[in-house]
Amino acid sequence: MSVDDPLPELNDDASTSAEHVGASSWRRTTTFVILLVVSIAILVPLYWMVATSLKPENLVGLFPPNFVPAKPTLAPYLNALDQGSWGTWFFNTIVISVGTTVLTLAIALPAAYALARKEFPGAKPLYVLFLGILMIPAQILLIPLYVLFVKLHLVNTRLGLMLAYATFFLGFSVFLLHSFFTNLPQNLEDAARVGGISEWKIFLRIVLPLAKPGLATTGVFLFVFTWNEFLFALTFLQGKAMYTISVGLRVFQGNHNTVLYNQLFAMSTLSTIPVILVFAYFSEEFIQGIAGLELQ
Amino acid sequence: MSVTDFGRKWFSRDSTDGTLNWSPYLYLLPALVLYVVFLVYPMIETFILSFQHVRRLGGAHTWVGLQNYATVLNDPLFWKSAGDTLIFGIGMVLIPLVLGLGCALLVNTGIEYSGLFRLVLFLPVVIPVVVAGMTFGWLLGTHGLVNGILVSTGLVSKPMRFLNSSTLALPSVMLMAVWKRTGYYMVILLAGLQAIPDDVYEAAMIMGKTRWQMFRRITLPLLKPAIIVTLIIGIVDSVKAFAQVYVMTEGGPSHSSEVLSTYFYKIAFNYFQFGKGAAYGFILFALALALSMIVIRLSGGTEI
Repeated sequence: MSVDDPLPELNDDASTSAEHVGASSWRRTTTFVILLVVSIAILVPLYWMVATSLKPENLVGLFPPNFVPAKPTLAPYLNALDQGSWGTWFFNTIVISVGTTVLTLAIALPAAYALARKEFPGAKPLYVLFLGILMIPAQILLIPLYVLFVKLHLVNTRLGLMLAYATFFLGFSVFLLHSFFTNLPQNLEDAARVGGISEWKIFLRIVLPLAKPGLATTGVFLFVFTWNEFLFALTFLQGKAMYTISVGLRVFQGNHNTVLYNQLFAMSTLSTIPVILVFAYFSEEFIQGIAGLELQ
Repeated sequence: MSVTDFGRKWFSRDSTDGTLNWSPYLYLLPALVLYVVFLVYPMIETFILSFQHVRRLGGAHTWVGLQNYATVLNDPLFWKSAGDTLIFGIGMVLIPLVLGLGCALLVNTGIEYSGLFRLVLFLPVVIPVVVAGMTFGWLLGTHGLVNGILVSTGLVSKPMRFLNSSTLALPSVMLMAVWKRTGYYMVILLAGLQAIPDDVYEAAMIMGKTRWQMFRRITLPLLKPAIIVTLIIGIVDSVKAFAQVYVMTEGGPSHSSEVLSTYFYKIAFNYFQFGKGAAYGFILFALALALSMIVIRLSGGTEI
Protein backbone atom coordinates (compact mmCIF):
# COMPACT_ATOMS: atom_id res chain seq x y z
CA MET A 1 0.00 0.00 0.00
CA SER A 2 1.32 3.46 -0.85
CA VAL A 3 2.18 5.87 1.94
CA ASP A 4 -0.04 8.63 0.62
CA ASP A 5 -3.13 6.45 0.53
CA PRO A 6 -5.83 8.79 1.83
CA LEU A 7 -7.79 6.14 3.73
CA PRO A 8 -5.24 3.63 5.02
CA GLU A 9 -7.31 2.59 8.03
CA LEU A 10 -10.16 1.47 5.80
CA ASN A 11 -8.12 -1.18 4.06
CA ASP A 12 -8.57 -4.44 5.94
CA ASP A 13 -4.95 -5.49 5.29
CA ALA A 14 -3.76 -2.46 7.24
CA SER A 15 -6.03 -3.17 10.16
CA THR A 16 -4.14 -2.80 13.43
CA SER A 17 -6.18 -4.85 15.85
CA ALA A 18 -4.71 -8.26 16.56
CA GLU A 19 -8.00 -9.95 15.81
CA HIS A 20 -8.10 -8.47 12.32
CA VAL A 21 -4.50 -9.35 11.58
CA GLY A 22 -5.36 -12.93 12.51
CA ALA A 23 -8.46 -12.96 10.32
CA SER A 24 -6.58 -11.45 7.40
CA SER A 25 -3.68 -13.90 7.50
CA TRP A 26 -6.12 -16.81 7.92
CA ARG A 27 -7.93 -15.53 4.86
CA ARG A 28 -4.69 -15.28 2.87
CA THR A 29 -3.70 -18.81 3.84
CA THR A 30 -7.10 -20.17 2.81
CA THR A 31 -6.95 -18.33 -0.52
CA PHE A 32 -3.49 -19.71 -1.16
CA VAL A 33 -4.43 -23.27 -0.24
CA ILE A 34 -7.58 -23.25 -2.40
CA LEU A 35 -5.64 -21.93 -5.41
CA LEU A 36 -2.91 -24.50 -4.79
CA VAL A 37 -5.43 -27.36 -4.69
CA VAL A 38 -7.18 -26.13 -7.86
CA SER A 39 -3.80 -25.78 -9.62
CA ILE A 40 -2.81 -29.33 -8.67
CA ALA A 41 -6.18 -30.63 -9.91
CA ILE A 42 -5.56 -28.80 -13.20
CA LEU A 43 -2.06 -30.27 -13.53
CA VAL A 44 -2.86 -33.92 -12.64
CA PRO A 45 -4.21 -34.86 -16.12
CA LEU A 46 -1.15 -33.34 -17.77
CA TYR A 47 1.12 -35.13 -15.32
CA TRP A 48 -0.69 -38.38 -16.06
CA MET A 49 -0.18 -37.90 -19.79
CA VAL A 50 3.59 -37.43 -19.33
CA ALA A 51 3.84 -40.23 -16.72
CA THR A 52 2.11 -42.69 -19.08
CA SER A 53 4.41 -41.68 -21.93
CA LEU A 54 7.45 -42.69 -19.86
CA LYS A 55 6.23 -46.18 -18.93
CA PRO A 56 7.57 -49.31 -20.65
CA GLU A 57 5.01 -51.49 -22.45
CA ASN A 58 4.69 -54.08 -19.66
CA LEU A 59 3.74 -51.42 -17.08
CA VAL A 60 1.23 -49.33 -19.08
CA GLY A 61 -1.71 -51.67 -18.53
CA LEU A 62 -0.84 -52.30 -14.86
CA PHE A 63 -3.77 -51.94 -12.49
CA PRO A 64 -3.84 -50.21 -10.11
CA PRO A 65 -1.36 -47.99 -12.00
CA ASN A 66 1.91 -46.65 -10.59
CA PHE A 67 1.45 -42.97 -9.89
CA VAL A 68 5.16 -42.42 -10.47
CA PRO A 69 6.54 -44.48 -13.39
CA ALA A 70 8.59 -47.32 -11.87
CA LYS A 71 11.14 -47.57 -14.69
CA PRO A 72 10.86 -44.33 -16.68
CA THR A 73 12.06 -44.70 -20.27
CA LEU A 74 12.08 -42.66 -23.46
CA ALA A 75 11.58 -45.83 -25.52
CA PRO A 76 7.88 -45.05 -26.28
CA TYR A 77 8.94 -41.78 -27.95
CA LEU A 78 11.65 -43.45 -30.03
CA ASN A 79 9.51 -46.47 -30.95
CA ALA A 80 6.56 -44.32 -32.00
CA LEU A 81 8.69 -42.03 -34.16
CA ASP A 82 10.50 -45.05 -35.57
CA GLN A 83 7.47 -47.17 -36.46
CA GLY A 84 4.60 -44.77 -37.10
CA SER A 85 3.85 -41.96 -39.55
CA TRP A 86 4.24 -39.43 -36.75
CA GLY A 87 7.05 -37.59 -38.51
CA THR A 88 4.82 -36.97 -41.54
CA TRP A 89 1.93 -35.91 -39.31
CA PHE A 90 4.09 -33.47 -37.35
CA PHE A 91 5.44 -32.11 -40.63
CA ASN A 92 1.88 -31.63 -41.98
CA THR A 93 0.79 -29.92 -38.77
CA ILE A 94 3.74 -27.52 -38.86
CA VAL A 95 3.20 -26.69 -42.56
CA ILE A 96 -0.54 -26.19 -42.09
CA SER A 97 -0.19 -24.15 -38.87
CA VAL A 98 2.53 -21.86 -40.23
CA GLY A 99 0.82 -21.62 -43.64
CA THR A 100 -2.55 -20.76 -42.11
CA THR A 101 -0.98 -18.17 -39.83
CA VAL A 102 0.87 -16.42 -42.67
CA LEU A 103 -2.06 -16.63 -45.11
CA THR A 104 -4.61 -15.35 -42.61
CA LEU A 105 -2.39 -12.48 -41.43
CA ALA A 106 -1.64 -11.46 -45.03
CA ILE A 107 -5.36 -11.21 -45.77
CA ALA A 108 -6.47 -9.80 -42.40
CA LEU A 109 -3.83 -7.06 -42.01
CA PRO A 110 -4.77 -4.87 -45.01
CA ALA A 111 -8.47 -5.40 -44.25
CA ALA A 112 -8.09 -4.39 -40.60
CA TYR A 113 -5.90 -1.43 -41.58
CA ALA A 114 -8.43 -0.08 -44.06
CA LEU A 115 -11.34 -0.58 -41.65
CA ALA A 116 -9.50 1.17 -38.82
CA ARG A 117 -7.80 4.00 -40.72
CA LYS A 118 -9.75 4.86 -43.87
CA GLU A 119 -13.09 6.55 -44.09
CA PHE A 120 -15.13 5.15 -46.91
CA PRO A 121 -18.74 4.26 -47.62
CA GLY A 122 -19.54 0.79 -46.30
CA ALA A 123 -16.75 0.67 -43.69
CA LYS A 124 -19.13 0.22 -40.79
CA PRO A 125 -21.35 -2.52 -42.31
CA LEU A 126 -18.24 -4.36 -43.48
CA TYR A 127 -16.82 -4.29 -39.96
CA VAL A 128 -20.12 -5.60 -38.58
CA LEU A 129 -20.00 -8.32 -41.24
CA PHE A 130 -16.56 -9.46 -40.05
CA LEU A 131 -17.86 -9.51 -36.47
CA GLY A 132 -21.01 -11.39 -37.43
CA ILE A 133 -18.98 -14.14 -39.04
CA LEU A 134 -17.34 -14.71 -35.64
CA MET A 135 -20.69 -16.01 -34.39
CA ILE A 136 -21.06 -18.71 -37.07
CA PRO A 137 -20.54 -22.22 -35.68
CA ALA A 138 -17.85 -24.15 -37.57
CA GLN A 139 -20.31 -26.96 -38.38
CA ILE A 140 -22.36 -24.82 -40.70
CA LEU A 141 -19.30 -24.40 -42.89
CA LEU A 142 -18.48 -28.10 -43.04
CA ILE A 143 -20.92 -29.27 -45.71
CA PRO A 144 -20.64 -26.09 -47.84
CA LEU A 145 -16.85 -26.26 -47.85
CA TYR A 146 -16.86 -29.99 -48.44
CA VAL A 147 -19.15 -29.55 -51.47
CA LEU A 148 -16.93 -26.77 -52.79
CA PHE A 149 -13.69 -28.65 -52.11
CA VAL A 150 -14.95 -31.69 -54.00
CA LYS A 151 -15.53 -29.41 -57.01
CA LEU A 152 -12.16 -27.67 -56.70
CA HIS A 153 -10.24 -30.89 -55.89
CA LEU A 154 -9.18 -29.42 -52.56
CA VAL A 155 -10.35 -32.34 -50.40
CA ASN A 156 -7.38 -34.07 -48.77
CA THR A 157 -4.95 -31.23 -49.56
CA ARG A 158 -3.01 -29.02 -47.17
CA LEU A 159 -3.94 -25.97 -49.23
CA GLY A 160 -7.65 -26.73 -48.90
CA LEU A 161 -7.42 -27.03 -45.15
CA MET A 162 -5.41 -23.78 -44.92
CA LEU A 163 -8.04 -21.93 -46.97
CA ALA A 164 -10.80 -23.35 -44.74
CA TYR A 165 -8.94 -22.20 -41.62
CA ALA A 166 -8.18 -18.79 -43.14
CA THR A 167 -11.89 -18.31 -43.87
CA PHE A 168 -12.91 -19.42 -40.41
CA PHE A 169 -10.26 -17.43 -38.48
CA LEU A 170 -10.37 -14.29 -40.64
CA GLY A 171 -13.12 -12.49 -38.72
CA PHE A 172 -11.32 -13.05 -35.44
CA SER A 173 -7.98 -11.86 -36.88
CA VAL A 174 -9.47 -8.72 -38.45
CA PHE A 175 -11.15 -7.94 -35.15
CA LEU A 176 -7.93 -8.33 -33.12
CA LEU A 177 -5.81 -6.31 -35.60
CA HIS A 178 -8.53 -3.65 -35.88
CA SER A 179 -8.44 -3.04 -32.12
CA PHE A 180 -4.64 -2.92 -32.34
CA PHE A 181 -4.75 -0.19 -35.02
CA THR A 182 -7.33 1.87 -33.12
CA ASN A 183 -4.89 2.03 -30.21
CA LEU A 184 -1.87 2.85 -32.41
CA PRO A 185 -1.08 6.57 -32.97
CA GLN A 186 -1.38 7.71 -36.55
CA ASN A 187 1.34 10.43 -36.51
CA LEU A 188 3.93 8.61 -38.59
CA GLU A 189 1.48 7.74 -41.35
CA ASP A 190 0.19 11.32 -41.44
CA ALA A 191 3.72 12.72 -41.59
CA ALA A 192 4.53 10.42 -44.49
CA ARG A 193 1.34 11.48 -46.25
CA VAL A 194 2.30 15.15 -45.84
CA GLY A 195 5.70 14.22 -47.27
CA GLY A 196 3.93 12.99 -50.40
CA ILE A 197 4.71 9.31 -50.03
CA SER A 198 2.27 7.06 -51.88
CA GLU A 199 -0.36 5.10 -49.92
CA TRP A 200 1.08 1.71 -50.87
CA LYS A 201 4.56 2.69 -49.75
CA ILE A 202 3.12 3.99 -46.47
CA PHE A 203 1.42 0.64 -45.94
CA LEU A 204 4.51 -1.44 -46.74
CA ARG A 205 7.25 0.76 -45.24
CA ILE A 206 5.51 2.32 -42.22
CA VAL A 207 2.34 0.47 -41.27
CA LEU A 208 3.75 -3.03 -41.66
CA PRO A 209 6.73 -2.50 -39.31
CA LEU A 210 4.52 -0.67 -36.78
CA ALA A 211 1.99 -3.50 -36.85
CA LYS A 212 4.54 -6.13 -35.78
CA PRO A 213 3.31 -6.44 -32.16
CA GLY A 214 -0.29 -6.78 -33.33
CA LEU A 215 0.72 -9.33 -35.94
CA ALA A 216 2.67 -11.28 -33.31
CA THR A 217 -0.30 -11.50 -30.93
CA THR A 218 -2.76 -12.45 -33.68
CA GLY A 219 -0.24 -14.89 -35.15
CA VAL A 220 0.20 -16.66 -31.82
CA PHE A 221 -3.55 -17.20 -31.59
CA LEU A 222 -3.77 -18.41 -35.17
CA PHE A 223 -0.87 -20.81 -34.72
CA VAL A 224 -2.30 -22.37 -31.54
CA PHE A 225 -5.87 -22.54 -32.89
CA THR A 226 -4.69 -24.25 -36.07
CA TRP A 227 -2.30 -26.58 -34.28
CA ASN A 228 -5.12 -27.77 -31.98
CA GLU A 229 -7.98 -27.85 -34.51
CA PHE A 230 -9.71 -31.19 -34.99
CA LEU A 231 -13.10 -30.97 -36.74
CA PHE A 232 -11.98 -29.44 -40.06
CA ALA A 233 -8.87 -31.62 -40.19
CA LEU A 234 -10.92 -34.75 -39.54
CA THR A 235 -13.40 -33.82 -42.27
CA PHE A 236 -11.12 -32.58 -45.03
CA LEU A 237 -8.07 -34.82 -44.62
CA GLN A 238 -8.83 -38.39 -45.57
CA GLY A 239 -5.53 -39.96 -46.59
CA LYS A 240 -3.11 -41.12 -43.92
CA ALA A 241 -0.26 -39.18 -45.55
CA MET A 242 -2.15 -35.89 -45.10
CA TYR A 243 -3.20 -36.21 -41.43
CA THR A 244 -2.36 -33.56 -38.89
CA ILE A 245 -1.20 -34.66 -35.47
CA SER A 246 -4.70 -34.33 -33.93
CA VAL A 247 -6.26 -36.63 -36.53
CA GLY A 248 -3.26 -38.99 -36.33
CA LEU A 249 -3.58 -39.30 -32.55
CA ARG A 250 -7.26 -40.07 -32.86
CA VAL A 251 -6.74 -42.72 -35.54
CA PHE A 252 -3.84 -44.29 -33.63
CA GLN A 253 -6.03 -44.47 -30.51
CA GLY A 254 -8.76 -46.19 -32.49
CA ASN A 255 -6.37 -48.78 -33.93
CA HIS A 256 -4.40 -49.79 -30.84
CA ASN A 257 -5.11 -51.30 -27.47
CA THR A 258 -4.01 -50.10 -24.06
CA VAL A 259 -0.52 -51.62 -24.39
CA LEU A 260 0.61 -48.99 -26.89
CA TYR A 261 -0.92 -46.13 -24.92
CA ASN A 262 2.59 -45.21 -23.78
CA GLN A 263 3.33 -44.34 -27.44
CA LEU A 264 -0.02 -42.57 -27.81
CA PHE A 265 0.73 -40.34 -24.84
CA ALA A 266 4.35 -39.90 -25.86
CA MET A 267 3.11 -38.38 -29.12
CA SER A 268 0.40 -36.45 -27.24
CA THR A 269 3.11 -34.96 -25.04
CA LEU A 270 5.26 -34.15 -28.06
CA SER A 271 2.33 -32.45 -29.83
CA THR A 272 1.54 -30.41 -26.71
CA ILE A 273 5.10 -29.11 -26.19
CA PRO A 274 4.98 -26.54 -29.06
CA VAL A 275 1.75 -24.93 -27.83
CA ILE A 276 3.03 -24.86 -24.26
CA LEU A 277 6.28 -23.21 -25.41
CA VAL A 278 4.36 -20.64 -27.45
CA PHE A 279 2.04 -20.03 -24.50
CA ALA A 280 4.95 -19.75 -22.03
CA TYR A 281 6.63 -17.16 -24.23
CA PHE A 282 3.51 -15.17 -25.17
CA SER A 283 1.29 -15.84 -22.13
CA GLU A 284 0.60 -12.16 -21.42
CA GLU A 285 -0.36 -11.39 -25.03
CA PHE A 286 -2.51 -14.49 -24.99
CA ILE A 287 -4.41 -13.74 -21.81
CA GLN A 288 -4.77 -10.00 -22.54
CA GLY A 289 -5.91 -10.87 -26.06
CA ILE A 290 -8.64 -13.23 -24.87
CA ALA A 291 -9.83 -10.96 -22.08
CA GLY A 292 -9.79 -7.88 -24.32
CA LEU A 293 -11.39 -9.68 -27.24
CA GLU A 294 -14.37 -10.92 -25.30
CA LEU A 295 -14.99 -7.71 -23.41
CA GLN A 296 -15.00 -5.42 -26.44
CA MET B 1 -29.81 -3.18 -42.57
CA SER B 2 -31.49 -4.08 -45.81
CA VAL B 3 -29.61 -5.04 -48.92
CA THR B 4 -30.63 -1.87 -50.75
CA ASP B 5 -29.44 0.32 -47.86
CA PHE B 6 -26.17 -1.47 -47.96
CA GLY B 7 -25.85 -0.99 -51.70
CA ARG B 8 -26.73 2.68 -51.56
CA LYS B 9 -24.19 3.32 -48.82
CA TRP B 10 -21.54 1.38 -50.58
CA PHE B 11 -21.89 2.59 -54.13
CA SER B 12 -23.70 5.93 -54.30
CA ARG B 13 -22.23 8.13 -51.63
CA ASP B 14 -19.26 10.01 -53.06
CA SER B 15 -16.21 11.29 -51.28
CA THR B 16 -15.52 15.01 -51.02
CA ASP B 17 -14.17 15.54 -54.51
CA GLY B 18 -17.19 13.86 -56.08
CA THR B 19 -15.52 10.63 -57.13
CA LEU B 20 -15.43 7.37 -55.22
CA ASN B 21 -11.99 6.54 -53.89
CA TRP B 22 -11.46 2.87 -54.62
CA SER B 23 -8.21 2.31 -52.73
CA PRO B 24 -9.74 1.29 -49.35
CA TYR B 25 -11.66 -1.46 -51.13
CA LEU B 26 -8.41 -2.79 -52.59
CA TYR B 27 -7.12 -3.40 -49.05
CA LEU B 28 -10.30 -5.33 -48.33
CA LEU B 29 -10.36 -7.19 -51.63
CA PRO B 30 -8.46 -10.35 -50.55
CA ALA B 31 -10.67 -10.74 -47.47
CA LEU B 32 -13.85 -10.22 -49.44
CA VAL B 33 -12.78 -12.63 -52.19
CA LEU B 34 -12.02 -15.27 -49.55
CA TYR B 35 -15.43 -14.78 -47.95
CA VAL B 36 -17.34 -14.80 -51.21
CA VAL B 37 -15.60 -17.93 -52.51
CA PHE B 38 -15.30 -19.97 -49.32
CA LEU B 39 -18.22 -18.73 -47.25
CA VAL B 40 -21.03 -16.92 -49.06
CA TYR B 41 -21.13 -19.03 -52.22
CA PRO B 42 -20.91 -22.42 -50.46
CA MET B 43 -23.48 -21.34 -47.89
CA ILE B 44 -25.94 -20.43 -50.64
CA GLU B 45 -25.25 -23.79 -52.28
CA THR B 46 -25.88 -25.56 -49.00
CA PHE B 47 -29.05 -23.62 -48.39
CA ILE B 48 -30.28 -24.88 -51.77
CA LEU B 49 -29.00 -28.36 -50.90
CA SER B 50 -31.12 -28.33 -47.74
CA PHE B 51 -34.24 -28.44 -49.95
CA GLN B 52 -32.95 -31.30 -52.07
CA HIS B 53 -32.44 -35.00 -51.80
CA VAL B 54 -29.02 -36.13 -53.09
CA ARG B 55 -27.62 -39.64 -53.34
CA ARG B 56 -24.06 -38.45 -53.69
CA LEU B 57 -22.42 -35.02 -54.00
CA GLY B 58 -22.57 -33.63 -57.52
CA GLY B 59 -24.95 -36.42 -58.50
CA ALA B 60 -28.63 -36.30 -59.38
CA HIS B 61 -30.88 -34.41 -56.99
CA THR B 62 -34.59 -34.11 -56.46
CA TRP B 63 -36.39 -31.17 -54.91
CA VAL B 64 -38.09 -32.16 -51.69
CA GLY B 65 -39.18 -28.80 -50.29
CA LEU B 66 -39.03 -28.65 -46.50
CA GLN B 67 -38.82 -32.42 -46.12
CA ASN B 68 -35.18 -32.41 -44.92
CA TYR B 69 -36.07 -29.95 -42.16
CA ALA B 70 -39.09 -32.07 -41.25
CA THR B 71 -36.94 -35.22 -41.18
CA VAL B 72 -34.48 -33.60 -38.78
CA LEU B 73 -37.19 -32.20 -36.53
CA ASN B 74 -39.06 -35.54 -36.49
CA ASP B 75 -35.90 -37.51 -35.71
CA PRO B 76 -36.12 -38.66 -32.07
CA LEU B 77 -32.31 -38.80 -31.94
CA PHE B 78 -32.16 -35.11 -32.86
CA TRP B 79 -34.24 -34.29 -29.78
CA LYS B 80 -32.24 -36.74 -27.68
CA SER B 81 -29.07 -34.93 -28.81
CA ALA B 82 -30.69 -31.56 -28.17
CA GLY B 83 -31.52 -32.67 -24.62
CA ASP B 84 -27.96 -33.90 -24.05
CA THR B 85 -26.62 -30.64 -25.49
CA LEU B 86 -28.79 -28.74 -23.04
CA ILE B 87 -27.45 -30.76 -20.08
CA PHE B 88 -23.92 -30.59 -21.44
CA GLY B 89 -24.29 -26.87 -22.16
CA ILE B 90 -25.60 -26.05 -18.69
CA GLY B 91 -22.79 -28.05 -17.12
CA MET B 92 -20.18 -26.69 -19.47
CA VAL B 93 -21.28 -23.07 -19.01
CA LEU B 94 -22.47 -22.73 -15.42
CA ILE B 95 -19.92 -24.91 -13.61
CA PRO B 96 -16.84 -23.26 -15.19
CA LEU B 97 -18.52 -19.87 -14.80
CA VAL B 98 -18.97 -20.33 -11.04
CA LEU B 99 -15.53 -21.93 -10.62
CA GLY B 100 -13.95 -19.32 -12.89
CA LEU B 101 -15.55 -16.51 -10.91
CA GLY B 102 -14.36 -18.04 -7.66
CA CYS B 103 -10.81 -18.40 -9.00
CA ALA B 104 -10.87 -14.86 -10.45
CA LEU B 105 -11.90 -13.45 -7.04
CA LEU B 106 -9.13 -15.42 -5.31
CA VAL B 107 -6.44 -14.51 -7.87
CA ASN B 108 -7.59 -10.88 -7.77
CA THR B 109 -6.70 -10.65 -4.05
CA GLY B 110 -3.09 -10.34 -5.20
CA ILE B 111 -2.02 -13.33 -3.12
CA GLU B 112 1.58 -14.59 -3.42
CA TYR B 113 2.19 -16.34 -6.76
CA SER B 114 -1.19 -15.12 -8.09
CA GLY B 115 0.45 -14.60 -11.49
CA LEU B 116 1.64 -18.20 -11.53
CA PHE B 117 -1.77 -19.51 -10.42
CA ARG B 118 -3.38 -17.56 -13.24
CA LEU B 119 -1.02 -19.16 -15.77
CA VAL B 120 -1.61 -22.69 -14.46
CA LEU B 121 -5.41 -22.22 -14.44
CA PHE B 122 -5.34 -20.90 -17.99
CA LEU B 123 -3.03 -23.66 -19.27
CA PRO B 124 -5.81 -26.17 -20.22
CA VAL B 125 -7.21 -23.61 -22.70
CA VAL B 126 -4.18 -24.04 -24.99
CA ILE B 127 -3.91 -27.84 -24.64
CA PRO B 128 -5.07 -29.53 -27.88
CA VAL B 129 -8.63 -30.76 -27.38
CA VAL B 130 -7.80 -34.19 -28.79
CA VAL B 131 -4.96 -34.58 -26.28
CA ALA B 132 -7.20 -33.42 -23.44
CA GLY B 133 -9.99 -35.79 -24.47
CA MET B 134 -7.70 -38.79 -24.76
CA THR B 135 -6.00 -38.00 -21.46
CA PHE B 136 -9.32 -37.77 -19.63
CA GLY B 137 -10.52 -40.95 -21.33
CA TRP B 138 -7.35 -42.67 -20.10
CA LEU B 139 -7.65 -41.18 -16.58
CA LEU B 140 -11.26 -42.43 -16.31
CA GLY B 141 -10.68 -45.73 -18.13
CA THR B 142 -10.75 -49.17 -16.52
CA HIS B 143 -6.93 -49.07 -16.20
CA GLY B 144 -6.93 -45.41 -15.27
CA LEU B 145 -5.74 -43.39 -12.32
CA VAL B 146 -9.25 -42.59 -11.06
CA ASN B 147 -10.27 -46.25 -10.94
CA GLY B 148 -6.86 -47.07 -9.44
CA ILE B 149 -7.57 -44.73 -6.55
CA LEU B 150 -11.19 -45.87 -6.18
CA VAL B 151 -10.22 -49.56 -6.06
CA SER B 152 -7.10 -49.11 -3.90
CA THR B 153 -9.03 -47.19 -1.28
CA GLY B 154 -11.80 -49.77 -1.40
CA LEU B 155 -14.50 -47.33 -2.48
CA VAL B 156 -15.48 -49.64 -5.33
CA SER B 157 -14.70 -53.35 -5.69
CA LYS B 158 -14.00 -53.37 -9.42
CA PRO B 159 -13.14 -50.55 -11.88
CA MET B 160 -16.06 -48.33 -12.94
CA ARG B 161 -16.73 -48.12 -16.68
CA PHE B 162 -17.25 -44.36 -16.79
CA LEU B 163 -17.14 -43.89 -20.56
CA ASN B 164 -19.11 -47.06 -21.34
CA SER B 165 -21.92 -46.21 -18.98
CA SER B 166 -25.04 -44.59 -20.38
CA THR B 167 -25.41 -42.48 -17.24
CA LEU B 168 -21.75 -41.56 -16.61
CA ALA B 169 -20.47 -40.96 -20.17
CA LEU B 170 -21.86 -37.45 -20.53
CA PRO B 171 -20.77 -36.30 -17.04
CA SER B 172 -17.28 -37.67 -17.83
CA VAL B 173 -17.09 -35.51 -20.95
CA MET B 174 -18.41 -32.56 -18.94
CA LEU B 175 -15.61 -33.04 -16.42
CA MET B 176 -13.07 -32.54 -19.21
CA ALA B 177 -14.97 -29.53 -20.58
CA VAL B 178 -14.99 -27.95 -17.11
CA TRP B 179 -11.24 -28.59 -16.79
CA LYS B 180 -10.61 -26.98 -20.17
CA ARG B 181 -12.86 -23.93 -19.76
CA THR B 182 -12.57 -22.75 -16.16
CA GLY B 183 -9.34 -20.84 -16.83
CA TYR B 184 -10.84 -19.23 -19.92
CA TYR B 185 -13.76 -17.84 -17.94
CA MET B 186 -11.45 -16.85 -15.10
CA VAL B 187 -9.33 -14.70 -17.43
CA ILE B 188 -12.36 -12.87 -18.85
CA LEU B 189 -13.91 -12.33 -15.40
CA LEU B 190 -10.56 -11.29 -13.94
CA ALA B 191 -10.27 -8.56 -16.57
CA GLY B 192 -13.80 -7.49 -15.60
CA LEU B 193 -12.87 -7.45 -11.90
CA GLN B 194 -9.73 -5.41 -12.53
CA ALA B 195 -11.82 -2.83 -14.40
CA ILE B 196 -13.82 -2.08 -11.23
CA PRO B 197 -12.27 1.00 -9.61
CA ASP B 198 -10.95 0.55 -6.04
CA ASP B 199 -12.70 3.64 -4.71
CA VAL B 200 -16.09 1.97 -5.17
CA TYR B 201 -15.06 -0.60 -2.58
CA GLU B 202 -13.48 2.05 -0.35
CA ALA B 203 -16.76 3.97 -0.34
CA ALA B 204 -18.65 0.79 0.53
CA MET B 205 -16.25 0.11 3.39
CA ILE B 206 -16.84 3.56 4.81
CA MET B 207 -20.54 2.72 4.76
CA GLY B 208 -19.74 -0.40 6.79
CA LYS B 209 -20.78 -2.95 4.18
CA THR B 210 -19.68 -6.54 4.68
CA ARG B 211 -17.69 -8.45 2.08
CA TRP B 212 -20.75 -10.44 1.04
CA GLN B 213 -22.81 -7.24 0.64
CA MET B 214 -20.05 -5.70 -1.46
CA PHE B 215 -19.91 -8.81 -3.61
CA ARG B 216 -23.68 -8.82 -4.13
CA ARG B 217 -24.17 -5.08 -4.56
CA ILE B 218 -20.97 -4.01 -6.33
CA THR B 219 -18.96 -6.86 -7.81
CA LEU B 220 -21.77 -8.87 -9.36
CA PRO B 221 -23.64 -5.95 -10.98
CA LEU B 222 -20.42 -4.46 -12.36
CA LEU B 223 -19.32 -7.86 -13.65
CA LYS B 224 -22.63 -8.36 -15.41
CA PRO B 225 -21.36 -7.47 -18.91
CA ALA B 226 -18.42 -9.88 -18.54
CA ILE B 227 -20.70 -12.63 -17.22
CA ILE B 228 -23.11 -12.14 -20.13
CA VAL B 229 -20.23 -12.37 -22.60
CA THR B 230 -19.07 -15.64 -21.04
CA LEU B 231 -22.66 -16.95 -21.16
CA ILE B 232 -22.99 -16.16 -24.86
CA ILE B 233 -19.62 -17.71 -25.70
CA GLY B 234 -20.54 -20.73 -23.63
CA ILE B 235 -23.92 -21.22 -25.31
CA VAL B 236 -22.49 -20.92 -28.81
CA ASP B 237 -19.60 -23.20 -27.81
CA SER B 238 -21.87 -25.85 -26.34
CA VAL B 239 -23.99 -25.95 -29.51
CA LYS B 240 -20.82 -26.44 -31.58
CA ALA B 241 -18.88 -28.57 -29.06
CA PHE B 242 -17.69 -31.52 -31.08
CA ALA B 243 -14.16 -32.69 -30.43
CA GLN B 244 -14.56 -33.12 -26.65
CA VAL B 245 -17.45 -35.53 -27.08
CA TYR B 246 -16.23 -37.20 -30.26
CA VAL B 247 -12.77 -37.99 -28.90
CA MET B 248 -13.98 -39.30 -25.55
CA THR B 249 -17.17 -41.23 -26.38
CA GLU B 250 -18.13 -40.63 -30.05
CA GLY B 251 -21.57 -39.88 -28.62
CA GLY B 252 -21.93 -43.37 -27.23
CA PRO B 253 -22.59 -45.78 -25.74
CA SER B 254 -25.64 -46.09 -28.02
CA HIS B 255 -26.16 -42.31 -28.33
CA SER B 256 -26.22 -41.79 -24.55
CA SER B 257 -23.77 -38.90 -24.80
CA GLU B 258 -24.82 -37.77 -28.28
CA VAL B 259 -24.85 -33.99 -28.65
CA LEU B 260 -26.20 -31.96 -31.56
CA SER B 261 -22.85 -31.52 -33.26
CA THR B 262 -21.70 -35.16 -33.03
CA TYR B 263 -25.04 -36.35 -34.41
CA PHE B 264 -24.78 -33.74 -37.14
CA TYR B 265 -21.33 -35.05 -38.06
CA LYS B 266 -22.60 -38.62 -38.24
CA ILE B 267 -25.50 -37.67 -40.52
CA ALA B 268 -23.31 -35.69 -42.89
CA PHE B 269 -20.03 -37.59 -42.95
CA ASN B 270 -20.80 -41.11 -41.73
CA TYR B 271 -24.25 -41.64 -43.25
CA PHE B 272 -23.60 -39.16 -46.13
CA GLN B 273 -27.11 -37.68 -45.89
CA PHE B 274 -25.99 -34.30 -47.18
CA GLY B 275 -29.48 -32.85 -47.74
CA LYS B 276 -30.59 -33.70 -44.21
CA GLY B 277 -27.17 -32.59 -42.94
CA ALA B 278 -27.49 -29.24 -44.68
CA ALA B 279 -30.91 -28.67 -43.10
CA TYR B 280 -29.46 -29.78 -39.75
CA GLY B 281 -26.61 -27.26 -40.10
CA PHE B 282 -28.99 -24.37 -40.60
CA ILE B 283 -31.12 -25.51 -37.66
CA LEU B 284 -27.94 -25.52 -35.52
CA PHE B 285 -27.04 -22.05 -36.75
CA ALA B 286 -30.52 -20.70 -36.03
CA LEU B 287 -30.41 -22.29 -32.57
CA ALA B 288 -27.03 -20.77 -31.65
CA LEU B 289 -28.18 -17.38 -32.92
CA ALA B 290 -31.56 -17.54 -31.15
CA LEU B 291 -30.03 -18.62 -27.82
CA SER B 292 -27.48 -15.79 -27.98
CA MET B 293 -30.25 -13.29 -28.77
CA ILE B 294 -32.31 -14.53 -25.83
CA VAL B 295 -29.36 -14.08 -23.46
CA ILE B 296 -28.72 -10.58 -24.81
CA ARG B 297 -32.42 -9.70 -24.53
CA LEU B 298 -32.78 -11.16 -21.02
CA SER B 299 -29.76 -9.20 -19.88
CA GLY B 300 -31.56 -6.02 -20.89
CA GLY B 301 -29.58 -5.48 -24.05
CA THR B 302 -25.94 -4.70 -23.59
CA GLU B 303 -23.64 -2.92 -25.99
CA ILE B 304 -22.57 -6.20 -27.60
